[in-house]
Amino acid sequence: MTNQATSEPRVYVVEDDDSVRRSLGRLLMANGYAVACHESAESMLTTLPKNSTGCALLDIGLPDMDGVQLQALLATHSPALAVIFLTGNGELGAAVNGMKHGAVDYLIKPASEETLLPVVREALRRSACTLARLAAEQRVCEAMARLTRRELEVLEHVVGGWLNKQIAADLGIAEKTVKVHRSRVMAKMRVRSVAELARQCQMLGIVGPHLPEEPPE
Amino acid sequence: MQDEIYASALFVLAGVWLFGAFHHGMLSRGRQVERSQQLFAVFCALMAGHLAVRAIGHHTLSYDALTGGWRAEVITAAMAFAVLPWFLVEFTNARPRWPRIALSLYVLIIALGVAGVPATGPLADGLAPWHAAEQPEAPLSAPTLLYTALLLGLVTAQLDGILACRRRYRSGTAGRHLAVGVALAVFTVGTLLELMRLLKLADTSPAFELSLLPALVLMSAAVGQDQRLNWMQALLDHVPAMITLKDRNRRYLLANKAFTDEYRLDTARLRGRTDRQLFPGQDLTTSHQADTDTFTKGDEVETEERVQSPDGIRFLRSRRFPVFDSNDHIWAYGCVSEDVTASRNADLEALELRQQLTHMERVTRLDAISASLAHELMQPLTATLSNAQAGLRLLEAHPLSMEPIREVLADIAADAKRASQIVRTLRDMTRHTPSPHEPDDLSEAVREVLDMLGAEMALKGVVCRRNLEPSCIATANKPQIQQVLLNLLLNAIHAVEQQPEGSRRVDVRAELDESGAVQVSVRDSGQGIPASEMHRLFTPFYSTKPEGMGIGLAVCRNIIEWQDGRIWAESNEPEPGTTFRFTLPAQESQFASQRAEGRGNRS
Repeated sequence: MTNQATSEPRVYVVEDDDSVRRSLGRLLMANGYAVACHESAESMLTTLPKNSTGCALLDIGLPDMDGVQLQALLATHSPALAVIFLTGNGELGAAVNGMKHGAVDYLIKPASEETLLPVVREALRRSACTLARLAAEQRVCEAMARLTRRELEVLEHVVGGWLNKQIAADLGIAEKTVKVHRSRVMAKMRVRSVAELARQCQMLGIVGPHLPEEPPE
Repeated sequence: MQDEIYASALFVLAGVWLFGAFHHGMLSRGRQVERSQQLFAVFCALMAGHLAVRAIGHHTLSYDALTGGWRAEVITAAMAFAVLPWFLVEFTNARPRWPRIALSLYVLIIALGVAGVPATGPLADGLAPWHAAEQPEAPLSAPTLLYTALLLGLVTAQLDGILACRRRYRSGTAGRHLAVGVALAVFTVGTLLELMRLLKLADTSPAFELSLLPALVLMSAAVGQDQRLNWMQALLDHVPAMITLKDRNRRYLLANKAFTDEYRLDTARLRGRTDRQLFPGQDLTTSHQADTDTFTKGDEVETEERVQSPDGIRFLRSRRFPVFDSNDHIWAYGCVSEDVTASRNADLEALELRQQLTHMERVTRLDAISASLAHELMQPLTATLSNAQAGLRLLEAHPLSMEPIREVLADIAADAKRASQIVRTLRDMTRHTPSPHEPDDLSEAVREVLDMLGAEMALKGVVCRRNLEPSCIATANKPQIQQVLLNLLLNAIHAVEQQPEGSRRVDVRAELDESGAVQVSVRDSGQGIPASEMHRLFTPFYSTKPEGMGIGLAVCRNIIEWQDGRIWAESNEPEPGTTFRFTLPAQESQFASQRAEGRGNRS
């Protein structure tokens, strides 16, 4: 399974009002963005390739689905897709709810170019960041998959800040053997320093076992 | 000869008194009669007897036969006069009783004394002292003295009675005491003249007898009338509604306790007075109008009045009705008024509540409309904005391509049309609900609105006169016409509100004008509108009220003109105020049939 982006970043406009949808698409296109327009949540979900990137401009009140519901579906469908909500006057509550669930921003109609474009830019930037983060995580995971069980144990202890001596004592092996495992881990994970290793592990949420209360001198 | 005439006159007089006796209770066994009246009847009977005896005594034929008749005369007179103090005590309710009763005993004792005087002998020298003409040189004899004492007792009783009547009249219980007082005074004068004749001071022979007649008439009038009203008054006093009876000159004939209590009036002072005298300075327009209506129509009139009573503002629902005499002429009219203040206040509260509700409803509706309107309008506006800005970007592009710009402009135009359509729909929805124009009786429509505002007007002290001709049928949208009327009437009420109470008048008419159109007019007695402002009245957003929006009359004009009518305003010069009029075309067929009828009548 590959987590690479399947398409170039686009701006997806989901809006049921033809006129609004067309005009927004036109405006974004005129500003040089790749735009895809959908008139309903269903049409978007069926045509959107998995793991798309870019940003989705969602109208809060879609005919077949609530904007926030669509946002939830998109989060599993294309996690790197940033969401912007478009709201009328009386739907601020829904918009705030969407913000809580990770939307980049919400725009109140009528949204002018001056407010729309910076938000879209920010959303695309955030989408790119998310994509990069996801790719890095992917890489670390793949590297970690190549480690043996013993090497993984040593890795966890190292990340937890244990000294070789302590690791050897804890695992009941020779200090020298620990050193060998340690260098193998560094090689397999393609890192040069313990700090780099710790950062990668933190990305995946791996925290080593707690240090013993009084480490032996 | 003269004696014979005299005797006959006395017989007649006796007959009159006998009639009085029968009239006042001798025939009234089985009926409930007041004690004073019974005593009066006894007094009448005894007086009749006395006069009869006296007449016999004067008759030349019987004079010789009844030489001792003078005794009977004195005794019957004494018996009659003994009853008089009793009657007066009962009638005037004078206290203490015992001196008056003692007086009647005194008179009876004298009667016994007279009976004890021998018919012949020295004591009988002054026999029949009142036949002085026949015995000119008779000295003051015992009978003369006894008779003098009798008359003195009578005069005492009369003077006492006069004073008692005067006291009663002063304390304002009833006018009848005045009548009895006057009667007693006449009687007293007659008695004094008799006394003078007896003491040979002057020859005043028929004075006593003559004085009896007016006394009888006055007394019986007073006693009888009181009796007639008494039971009725008692009944009326126990009715909770206010009841009055007025004569043709609007003078009060009677009023019940509820009425006098309400206005803190004195029953005695009420009779014979008019409203103006009883309630000086009050606005009586409504009640006077109703009075006049009752007289002119000869029919029942029901009104609602707002009156100022000592307890504050009261709302009365009054029914006035004529009272006919046996010849079917109106001789008086009655009025039964019910105090509906409590229910009226409840009504007003309900009205206020309803107004608040209507207002709330309108506000919420407006709120709802504005929310959906905002949403609806935002869509085309969003599209227009985006399109316009996209168009600007496209213009910057190289090479410039015309086709996308054409599309953008077409879309902008379409969205602008869409927005204006939304606004138009909204206006139609709020102002011009399409509903069929149907023939409707405008008088009925006007009446409904007036009824709805009746409470409001009463509260603000506005007198509303309506003159609604039947069959003012026009093809119109009734709710809208009523909206116009409501507007005009509220304006009129507002206009007269600042006027002093009593000159707050609003007149509403509905009639067919010369051209056959239905014309409705609302005339107020307000301050009026300056001539320079007249032409701007129907302009939107022009208002004479500081809090006004200036929408009302503009809407009115729209409504009327939509229905092919005309609305205008005119000043009431030289009177204060303004009249608003509108006309609507009458229903064709009705007008045609009326014309046909007119022709038929002429031929």
